[in-house]
Amino acid sequence: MKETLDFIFAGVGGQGSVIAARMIGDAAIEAGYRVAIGETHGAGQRGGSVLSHVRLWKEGSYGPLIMDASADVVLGLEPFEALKSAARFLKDSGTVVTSDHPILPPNKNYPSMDDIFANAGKIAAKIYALDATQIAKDAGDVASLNIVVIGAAFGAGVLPINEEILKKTIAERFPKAAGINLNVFELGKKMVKQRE
Amino acid sequence: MASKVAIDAPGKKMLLMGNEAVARGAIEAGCQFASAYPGTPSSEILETLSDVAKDFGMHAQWSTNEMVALWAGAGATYCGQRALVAGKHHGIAWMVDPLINFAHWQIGRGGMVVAIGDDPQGHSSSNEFDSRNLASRVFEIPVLEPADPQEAKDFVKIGFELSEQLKSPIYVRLTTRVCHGTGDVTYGEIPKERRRPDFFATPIELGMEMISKYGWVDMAYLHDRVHTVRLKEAEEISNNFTHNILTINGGEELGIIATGVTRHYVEEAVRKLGIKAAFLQLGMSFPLPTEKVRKLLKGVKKVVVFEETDPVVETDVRSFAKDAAPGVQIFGKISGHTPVSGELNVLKVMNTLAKISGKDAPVIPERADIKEMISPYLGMRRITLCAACPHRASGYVVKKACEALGIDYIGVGDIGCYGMMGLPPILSFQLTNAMGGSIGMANGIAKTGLGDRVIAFIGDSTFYHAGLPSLINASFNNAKFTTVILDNSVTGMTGFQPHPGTGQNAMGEKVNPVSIEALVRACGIDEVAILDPYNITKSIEGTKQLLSKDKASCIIFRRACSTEYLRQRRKQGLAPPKPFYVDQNICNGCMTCVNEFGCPAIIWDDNTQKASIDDAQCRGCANCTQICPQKAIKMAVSK
Repeated sequence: MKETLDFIFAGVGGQGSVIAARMIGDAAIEAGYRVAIGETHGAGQRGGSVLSHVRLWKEGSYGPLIMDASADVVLGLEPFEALKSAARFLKDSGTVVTSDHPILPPNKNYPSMDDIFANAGKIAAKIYALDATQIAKDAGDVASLNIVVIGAAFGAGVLPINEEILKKTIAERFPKAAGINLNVFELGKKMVKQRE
Repeated sequence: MASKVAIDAPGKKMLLMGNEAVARGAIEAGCQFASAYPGTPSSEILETLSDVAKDFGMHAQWSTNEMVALWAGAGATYCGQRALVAGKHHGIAWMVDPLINFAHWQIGRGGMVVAIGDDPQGHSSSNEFDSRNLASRVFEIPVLEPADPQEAKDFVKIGFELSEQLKSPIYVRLTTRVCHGTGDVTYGEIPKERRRPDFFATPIELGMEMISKYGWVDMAYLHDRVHTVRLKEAEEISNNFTHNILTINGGEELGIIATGVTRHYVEEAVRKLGIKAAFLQLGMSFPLPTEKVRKLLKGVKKVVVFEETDPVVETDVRSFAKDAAPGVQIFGKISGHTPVSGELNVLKVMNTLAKISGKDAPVIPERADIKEMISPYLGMRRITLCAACPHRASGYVVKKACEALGIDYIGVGDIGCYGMMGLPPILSFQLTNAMGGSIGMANGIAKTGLGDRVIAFIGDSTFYHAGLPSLINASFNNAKFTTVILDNSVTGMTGFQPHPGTGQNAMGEKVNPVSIEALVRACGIDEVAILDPYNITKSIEGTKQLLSKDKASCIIFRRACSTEYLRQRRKQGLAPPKPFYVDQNICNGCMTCVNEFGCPAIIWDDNTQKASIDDAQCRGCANCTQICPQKAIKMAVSK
């Protein structure tokens, strides 16, 4: 029996994966879950890999780290980071929901998108993708890409939290940006597509 | 958003990071004094309190170092107020001498909680060590080990009560997964009354009647009192501690003892493996709750201990069991059944338990083909100094100046972001150790006579923290070396805390900045240059001038941290500075920018064999325009 719902949020420093994980945590408490989130902080430096483990459950108590090959869902703000964390943490036949917008390293040495998704498909039963960066940019604030991915996760049906609670949490987190953030949540929800 | 730790709503559930929960615990305990020096994973404790201290009649301070933080906190306890002193495991090393004293001589009427973030695995540290060794063996003070944010909050509050009961500092041992773990926390009440300060430090108050009787103090008596009175009482408390939970259903052959966050790993591992085990969870690990341990040992044949990082509890259990239950086999780090270093996790705990109970170890899918596909790209996001970081420019300047003078120097680094100056391509130094090690070791290296020059690289905050006594030592002992102070006007590595040079403190008060150059001159260093590393040509000249003199000298490279600069601009609603670009017609692919400077905003294209600039990363510092031999890098015209 699976006792917890385990999500890995994967991104690159500066993309907002830590804040996205906390927003899901806030909403989950409101929805009656207990929550543990694990993450590592390092130097105040942008561009490195950032992983957040988000665990939701109703009974008992759990630590903040998800065991290898046991996450239910990998939520990617960046496709290679999503694959990397899926390889270690996603359970067989789990789900990946990810942005397919790459962040290239300085030497531009980056695998092809086909390779990334083909390999993710060896683990995941379902993969959902969208260009969260472009959607956020078009909506007027590239920093909202993390909320596009939350919208996509909800659209893909992997977040067990009521839509109203999610929207309330998103609106309250950054009151000044509530308009854009709620808009990109909707866009993420509608535009996410399952890959064949 | 108003700080969520300040919300006065008993029973409310909030999502808090462990460090925020420690802060909330201090507020719920009516703590009126908090001090710390920043250090990952503990920095958010004081950061959180500094935002709300005024609302709760509390003074919160970033102290110049952890020793000062502890002394200041002790001062508050002698005036009857509760004091929280926070830091990371490296920080406790700076508190050792005063803490031993307070453990022996007693604190004042106000309780003292010392909350320390150990960093098993050394995620953000230059080593991993188990500070419980100091707390239990050297300070001999009670140790509480919360498993999650809820307990972090609760244990701080309990810690203050125990501290006043036992007249001892109480050690709250946190770890990275507790400090930086986030979880639901149910709030308690916030006391409304504040304690009026009063000075309590008479011999009677401190339990040293012998001063009045004999006019002297027997140091052995003070130590004796720790063992015969305090630790006895503390052991009783440990036996009755509600978070030292013994669960025996009957018939178990295996017993498990676990502390801190490993308690959650054990619960999950036991469920996943489907094994039967008696379980003793230790929220208070020192002194050992011997009665509960005795009960556990009585019923089982084997006991395994899970703890991070050293076998502290395991050692105590082994020594207790030798007489209490000599037939019981004890497993742990000492027996080689749990890892002797690094963090634990559910998988490691499952592997240990499977081995001991004769079960199959969990099978983790190999996924070798996927890992092979990934592996060539794993190094793509290497840790590096930020774009526009002044430290990169400073390191480049020193390197170029030394090359021009033909100086082959021995470089010693220190603790901060600038530790990355020791990495390619800047390579400013070969050696980095612990806080203050740069100037400290330069004192010795210079005396050996090795190398053309010795250069110590130290950050501004680290200089105040640990550099100053070593620089005084250099003048006193006539050690000739050059100190490079990298002044980016903030404690950058740990999240942009103010320091004595910034003119603002944790309470947000404007204060007189403590001048680094005045300190350096007062230490007896006459040759001092203050340079702006963003002006690379001028800085190289200034550095050459200084290094060409055969005297002890100091260069202060002064330029704001580029990340903090951007944060401040964003706060003021200002756009980031305009990015630069590489004129592809002029770039001849010499790679000077990539191989000698290595800014992460500079991208090398293998196909075109030319450099370009990622305008999402470029922060417009213009440093690269000064190092490009072809002058191919230009400011972008507005699009």
